[in-house]
Amino acid sequence: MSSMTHSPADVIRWLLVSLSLGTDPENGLAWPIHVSSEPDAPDDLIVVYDTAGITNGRIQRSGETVEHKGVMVQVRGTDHPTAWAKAEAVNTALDESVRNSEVTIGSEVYVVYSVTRHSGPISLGREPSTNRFLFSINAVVALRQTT
Amino acid sequence: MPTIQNINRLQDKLATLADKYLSKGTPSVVVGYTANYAVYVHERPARHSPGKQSKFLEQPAREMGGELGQTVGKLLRSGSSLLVALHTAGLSLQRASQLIVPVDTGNLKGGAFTANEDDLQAVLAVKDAQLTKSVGKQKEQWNKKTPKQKANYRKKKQARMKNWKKS
Repeated sequence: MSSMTHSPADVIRWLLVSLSLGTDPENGLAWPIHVSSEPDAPDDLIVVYDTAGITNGRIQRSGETVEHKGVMVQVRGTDHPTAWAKAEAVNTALDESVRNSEVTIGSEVYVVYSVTRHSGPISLGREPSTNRFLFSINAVVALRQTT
Repeated sequence: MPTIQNINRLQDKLATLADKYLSKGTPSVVVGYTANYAVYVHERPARHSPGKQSKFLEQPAREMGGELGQTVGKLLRSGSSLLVALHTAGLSLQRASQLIVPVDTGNLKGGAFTANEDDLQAVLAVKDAQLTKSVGKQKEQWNKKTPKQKANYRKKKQARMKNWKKS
């Protein structure tokens, strides 16, 4: 996969924002989606992390390594039903709504060909200090930067 | 229209292999950790001591995917059963995972297992018994310590944590 300006987690963040599953943290609205860092407030939020991907060999002619990038979407909520519902909504959207989806970040455009989930929402229980509920979804993504 | 020649021969070969390896059901091997907080530590990105990390099972599993397949193939060609081949591949994944699993008390790392899916419950029971015994032994040793020794131990542990945080 050719190099990209933004990390796969960042691309997936904006993809989720475009699917109305969360909002840009700068707007201060409900369900902000952060990348690789989890602020303490607000209680209800989504964080997308980059994880290990899967390499699928190499294109002989160009030498390009074909890789599915790994991402983890973590949902945090104050109560169990709210957090679960959001995790389930993200789950469904990743399964059903991502098909050659175009994501624009600034002047860069990415195409997310598909998202393959490796696990459904896994319940991580509650945060030790705050008792907030946590769910995580693991997936691999096929994507490419077009401009 | 393009045609595939000798497809019947390939189908026969695959059927023979399936008979040979899958006649006693489809074996399946599970690699995991018995600690009930293993999922939390695995899924929560947190700062761990050098060389240790979250995603301690998923990452090696993804990185070693091809290698594990090769191990299984190699063992099958040398005459091992599918279950033995899968178990060996599972053990190498377990070893790779145990190298990077965060260690605090050692309970998480010690709870790593590779088991045939049919024997999973039995393996978990044995692991549980081992853990209970080891925790009991630790408690016994702790209770034997004098209050001064306990205070010293806590002090040293706090100092270690402080140094680690600084570093």
